[in-house]
Amino acid sequence: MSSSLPILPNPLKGSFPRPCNPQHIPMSRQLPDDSMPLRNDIHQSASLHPRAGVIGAPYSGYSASPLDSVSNHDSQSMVAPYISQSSSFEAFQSLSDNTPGTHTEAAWFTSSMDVSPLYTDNIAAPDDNRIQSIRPAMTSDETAKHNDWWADIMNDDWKDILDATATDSHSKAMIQTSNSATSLPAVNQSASSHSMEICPVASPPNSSNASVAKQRMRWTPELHECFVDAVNQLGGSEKATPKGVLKLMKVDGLTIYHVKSHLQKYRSARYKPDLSEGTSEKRTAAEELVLDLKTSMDLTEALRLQMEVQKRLHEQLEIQRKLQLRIEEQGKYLQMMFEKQSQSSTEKVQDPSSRDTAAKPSSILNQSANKDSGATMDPNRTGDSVKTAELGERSSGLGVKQKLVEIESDTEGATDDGSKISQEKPRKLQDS
Amino acid sequence: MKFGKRLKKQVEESLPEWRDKFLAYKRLKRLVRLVSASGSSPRRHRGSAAEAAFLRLLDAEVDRFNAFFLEREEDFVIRHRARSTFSFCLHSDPPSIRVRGVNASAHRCECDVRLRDLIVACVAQELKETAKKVAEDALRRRPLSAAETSVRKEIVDLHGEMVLLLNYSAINYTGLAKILKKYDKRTGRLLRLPFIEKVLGQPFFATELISRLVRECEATMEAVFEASRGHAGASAGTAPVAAVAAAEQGIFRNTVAALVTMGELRSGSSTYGHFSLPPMAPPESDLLRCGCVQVAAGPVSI
Repeated sequence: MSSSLPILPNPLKGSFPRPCNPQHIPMSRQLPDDSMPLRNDIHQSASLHPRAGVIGAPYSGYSASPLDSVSNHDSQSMVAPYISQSSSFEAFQSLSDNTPGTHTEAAWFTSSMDVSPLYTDNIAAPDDNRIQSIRPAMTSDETAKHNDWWADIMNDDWKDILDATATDSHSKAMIQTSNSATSLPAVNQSASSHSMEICPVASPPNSSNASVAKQRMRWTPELHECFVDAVNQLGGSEKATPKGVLKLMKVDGLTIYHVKSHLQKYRSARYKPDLSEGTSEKRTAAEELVLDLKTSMDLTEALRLQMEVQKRLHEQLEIQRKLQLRIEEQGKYLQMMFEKQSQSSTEKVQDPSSRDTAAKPSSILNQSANKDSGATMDPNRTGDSVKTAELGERSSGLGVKQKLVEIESDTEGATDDGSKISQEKPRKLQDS
Repeated sequence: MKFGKRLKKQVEESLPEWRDKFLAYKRLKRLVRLVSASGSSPRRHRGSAAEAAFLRLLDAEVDRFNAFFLEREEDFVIRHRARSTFSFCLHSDPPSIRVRGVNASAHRCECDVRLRDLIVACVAQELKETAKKVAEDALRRRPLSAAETSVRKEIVDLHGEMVLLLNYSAINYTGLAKILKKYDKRTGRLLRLPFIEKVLGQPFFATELISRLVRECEATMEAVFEASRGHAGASAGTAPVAAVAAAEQGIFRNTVAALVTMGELRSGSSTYGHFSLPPMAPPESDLLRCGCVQVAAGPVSI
C-alpha cells in the first residue's frame, strides 16, 4: 500500500483520454495499476478519512490542477455515500462504458476529499463536461471495488435484478444529476434572504450510509429580482456576462456556474415571447375586426375553463398536503409517546406515579387522536386487529401498556407502530 | 398494485419531458419483494444486498426529484416574473400602474412620467416595443389582439405547469410513503418514519414558493377575466367550442387526468391505516365532465 504512494505524484504529464479539460487529471496512466489495492483498502477500512489523509497529501502540492470549487463540492458530496457504504454493489455493465481513465479519476477524487478545501477559492473557468465526467467515474470505482467481494456471493439471478436496479438507478441518477448539474451544481438557500449559506441538502440517509450532500440552488423570486437588476445594470441579458452579474449581485455562495445556467435560461425565456409575439402581430394586421372579437372571446372562455380546472387541482393538492403533514405530525407524536412510555416503564415497573403521569398524556393523546382521526378512517379489521389482539394479550400484565394499546386500536395503529410495539414488548417482558 | 397502475396512467398523461421523472415505483416494489423473500439468515448477504439496493434507490430517487423540481422551479420563477410584469402593463389603467408599482424599477420612476416611459421602466428592454403597442391598445379598449391573447394563454399555461409540478411532488411523495409502508410491513423494520421525516424536509416537498406563484397567477388571471367580462357579449354559444380548444392542450389534459387520478387514489382503500388520507370530495360535475368528455373524445379541430 505504501509502496504505491511514491508512484502517484509522478505521472502528471500524461494526457487524459476523456473529453474534458486536459488540465484535469493528468495522472491517469500510472494509477490503474495501483488503484485496485488502493480502493480495496479504502473499502475495507470503511472510513475514508484516514486513507484520504494519507493519500491526499501528495496531491496537495498540485494546486495547478484546476479543480474548481463546484466540482469539489460535488465530488465531496458525491463521494462520501458511495465510499462509505459497507454493503453495496454496482452495475458491472457500466464498466464497459467507461475508459480506464475513469478509475483513476475516481480514485483521485476519493482521495482528494481532504484536499478540496484548498480549492474553494478557485473559480476556474468550468468545463461543463467535467461534472458529467465525475459521476460515471464513481460508479466504475465502486464497481471495481466490490468486484472481488461479490464474485462468489452473487448468483446470476441476483446479479441481473440487482444490477439492473443499480444500473438504472445510477445511470438515471447520473444522467439526471449530470444534466441538472450542468445547469445547477448548486447550493441550498434559505428562502427570504439574499445572503446564503452553503448548507448541503441532505437527502434521507439510511442507517448505514453517510448523508448525501448534494448542493442545489434554490432560485427564489427575490434572488431572481436581484439577478435581473444586475443584468439590467449591465445593459440587458445579451450584454451581461456571468462574471459581471456575479460580481454585481454580491451574494455569498453563488458561483459562476449558477449564474451562467440561470442566465442561459433567462435569455431563452426572453427570446421565446419576442418571437411568438412578432409572428402573431403580423397575423393580427390581416384579420377582420369582427373575427378578432369572436375568436378572442372563444379563446378567453377556453382559458377560463382551463384556469378553473387548474385552480381546482391546486386546491385539492393544497388540502391533501395539509392533511399529509398533519398525519405525519401525529404519527411522530405517537411515536414519541411510545418511546417515553417504554422508557418510564422499564425504569419503574410498579411505580404508581409513573402510571399517573403516563395516563394523563395518553388520555390527551386519545382525545386529540380521536378528534383528528374521527373523520378519516374506515378501519381495516383483519390486519390491524390481529396485531392489536396479540398486543392486548401480551400487555395484560402492565396497566400502562394496556392504555397505550387501546389508544393504538382506537387510532387504527399503523403497521409500523404496531411492529414497534411488538418489538418492544419482548424486550420489556424480558426486563420485567 | 393499484397505485402502480394509477401512477403509470398519470405518467402517460403527463407532459412528455416529465415522463421519466416520476418515482420508479415498480422497481422499488420488486426490491421490497426480494428483501422479504430472502429474509432468513442463511441468505443474509442477499437480503442485505437487496436492502442496500433499495435504500440506495430511494436516495437516488429523492435526489432526482429534487433536481427536477428545483430546475423547474427556477424556470417558473423566471417566466413568472417576465409574465407578471408584462401583464400588469397590459391590463391596468395608467394611474393604477403608477400606484401599483410592478417592481423595483417602477418605483424609481417619477410620478408624473408619461405612460410610454413608465412602460419602458416596467418591462425589460427586450419587450419594450411590444409592450408599448399592446398597452396603447389596452388604453383604447380594443378587443384583444393576438399578442394579448397569447400572453394570457402563456400565463394560464404557466399556471397549469406549476400546478402540475405540485401534483408531481404530491404523487411522488405518496409513492414514497406507500413503498415505505410496504417495506416496513414486509421486513418489520422501521424505515418509514425517519425516512418520511427527511423527505418532508426535502426541497421537492417544500412547495410553498410554487404555491405562492400559482396564487399570484390566479390573481392576475382573475383581474384579466374581470376586465374581459365587459367585452364578453354573446359568449353563451362559445362554451363547447372553448372546451374543445382547451382540451387539445397537453397541459389541460394532464390536469384533468391528475384530478381524476387523485380522486381514484383517495376513493377507497382496503388498507386504510393511521396514515391514510380521507376520500376526496367528489369533483365538480359540469366543469370536470365537460373537460373529461372532451379529453376522451381526443383532439378535435375547431
